Amino acid sequence: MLRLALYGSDENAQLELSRRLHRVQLTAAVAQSDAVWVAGSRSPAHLQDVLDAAGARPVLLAPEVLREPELWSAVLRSPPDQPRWVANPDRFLPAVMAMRQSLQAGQLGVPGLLRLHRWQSATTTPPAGQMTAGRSWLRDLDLMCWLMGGVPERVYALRQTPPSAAAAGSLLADLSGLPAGTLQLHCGWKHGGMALLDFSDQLPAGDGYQSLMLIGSSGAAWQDDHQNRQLVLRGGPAQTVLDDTHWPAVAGLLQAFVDHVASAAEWAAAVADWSAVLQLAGLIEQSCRSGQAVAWQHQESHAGDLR
Amino acid sequence: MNDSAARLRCAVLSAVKHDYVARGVASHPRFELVVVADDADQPAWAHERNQLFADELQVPYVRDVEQALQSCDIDVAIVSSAAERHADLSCRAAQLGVHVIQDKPLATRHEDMQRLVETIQQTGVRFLMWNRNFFPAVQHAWRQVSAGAIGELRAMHVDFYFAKDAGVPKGTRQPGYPPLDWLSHQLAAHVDGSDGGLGQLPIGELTNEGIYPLGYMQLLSEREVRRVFARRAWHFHQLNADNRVEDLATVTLEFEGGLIGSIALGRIGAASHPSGGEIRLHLLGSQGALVVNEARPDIGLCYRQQPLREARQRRVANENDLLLADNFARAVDQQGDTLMNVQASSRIFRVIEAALQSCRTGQPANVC
Repeated sequence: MLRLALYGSDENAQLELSRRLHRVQLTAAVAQSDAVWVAGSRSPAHLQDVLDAAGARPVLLAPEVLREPELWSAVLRSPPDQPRWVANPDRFLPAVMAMRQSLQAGQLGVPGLLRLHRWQSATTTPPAGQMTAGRSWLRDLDLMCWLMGGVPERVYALRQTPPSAAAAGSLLADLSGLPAGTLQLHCGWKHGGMALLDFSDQLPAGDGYQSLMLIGSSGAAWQDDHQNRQLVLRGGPAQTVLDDTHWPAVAGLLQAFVDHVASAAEWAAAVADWSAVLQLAGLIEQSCRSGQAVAWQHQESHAGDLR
Repeated sequence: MNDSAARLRCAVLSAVKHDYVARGVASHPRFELVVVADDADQPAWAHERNQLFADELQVPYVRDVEQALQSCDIDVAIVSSAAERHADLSCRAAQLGVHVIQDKPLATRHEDMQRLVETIQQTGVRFLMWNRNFFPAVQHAWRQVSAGAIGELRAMHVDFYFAKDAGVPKGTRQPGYPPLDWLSHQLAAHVDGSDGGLGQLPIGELTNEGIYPLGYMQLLSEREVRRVFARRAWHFHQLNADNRVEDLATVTLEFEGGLIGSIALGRIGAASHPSGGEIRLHLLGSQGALVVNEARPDIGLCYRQQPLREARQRRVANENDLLLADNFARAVDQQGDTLMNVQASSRIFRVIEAALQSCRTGQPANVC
């Protein structure tokens, strides 16, 4: 039984995860744990305190807690006796797993087009159990590279900044949420594949929206909040409700992590993947500023497997 | 709709590609299909198709376009020929004072597009590019945007995937075999309706289908595209690979006034969708957003021994044909504009032209 400390999570997270994880005892105390999951952090300084407290224990971090490129670099360069990983829970979303399995089984053929929309409200409060508001757009860049089989060779990006957002400067200033305003990405791969992604934090307060489509040479996968909503009729216009798949994804990620820690098995931790994602974010920033398409300088694939 | 107004006599000029345009026009009580016509020098297969359609309509087939237009007292020419002949047939009809309803694409060459625009303007006839802007879901989106339901439009994204094959999958041509011939394939594929851009000249899906998503955007925003960035690929079909025309394309658009958008479109293969394709509009405004499925309203119809390729979900309450024809009839009656006139169509042509240029250079291109 491995003792896993949940940091940055609340009682609800403990409850949701405890009934899903195998061979794991959950604890809130880092000092009494064998490994640590950091889901949220109040500030970079606070995060550093948590990492110091973890010492030589393996630590898994949600992308959102690493707000600035410097923090990312520090974690990705962590010494071997202080194993630190950043992992993307979205790779474990039920729909994404189905998509990935179909892709790996050859059912979809060669990926040709990935299309992703992610819209939310800048004023929506974070879900229970998450200290960090929103979600990092880097997760979607990681997902894109993972599903498309590598980094794109060319990137073109447009950004609309809201008039009210004086802080909407560099895309890289704060990597812990969606970019302020609207960001639209257009990526191309050497093999002919392409991707269109758009992010917006400009919805009114309330539910967000996302969809992900992957079209391959012999099949396609379609996932859309529009399709997955249930009706609620309470007088007046009908309302729709979306089932939450957050906890199965987090549980899938943590189970993979603890299995790795318990067995000391090789885990192709996504350091190279995240380095590529950060480089890609830099190119996106460059394209937004220059108004030109920007080429990726290194053509080799960086996307590895997270189990 | 005024049922008592004078009926408009229509000539179907070269019904070799999409007879659905002519049938769509005929769904309106104001229109009467009275003749099918084509040039005498057309190949035998074209005459055969024209004759079959004329026989079905129980109207004459005349192998002389000008004679048919003049002798049959024609008001409207419906052009759905091979793509490279669209502009020429439309110009010839206009020069005889005949109004024009034309199938897409507007033209296959820039000079043909220019000549068509000039001819329509000089002759003063009405022109309608057949489109999908009266589909119920598109009209729903338009009403919502017009009513200010999502505030000022900030971004528009359209997915336009139709799940059809174009012969064998890419990569299946054996070494030593010649490249697939474009026209031969299109002629053979007509049997099951999977033919694409019909003509001698291979045309990609951006050229052929781009009018539909761009038409939605034109309707919804009434703004012009200034700059585009695009990628394209022959990803699915050997026919497209052999002829180096895209079956998949993506376009980033920058409109006047800061509006942005994107289009993803493709002929993605029959296996990739259970009901013929996925068409969606994603609209972001200053006060909200719309996500619209163009296939709705629909009904699921499933039964034993249903053909594999028959759509399980079918559109219902779709009056696109009727409303397009009605729009055209009103334009003729009132000397007004159509929903997609020749200027609007030429703007779409120029956007596609710029997108293809961007595909070649790898950089954004201005729309001229």
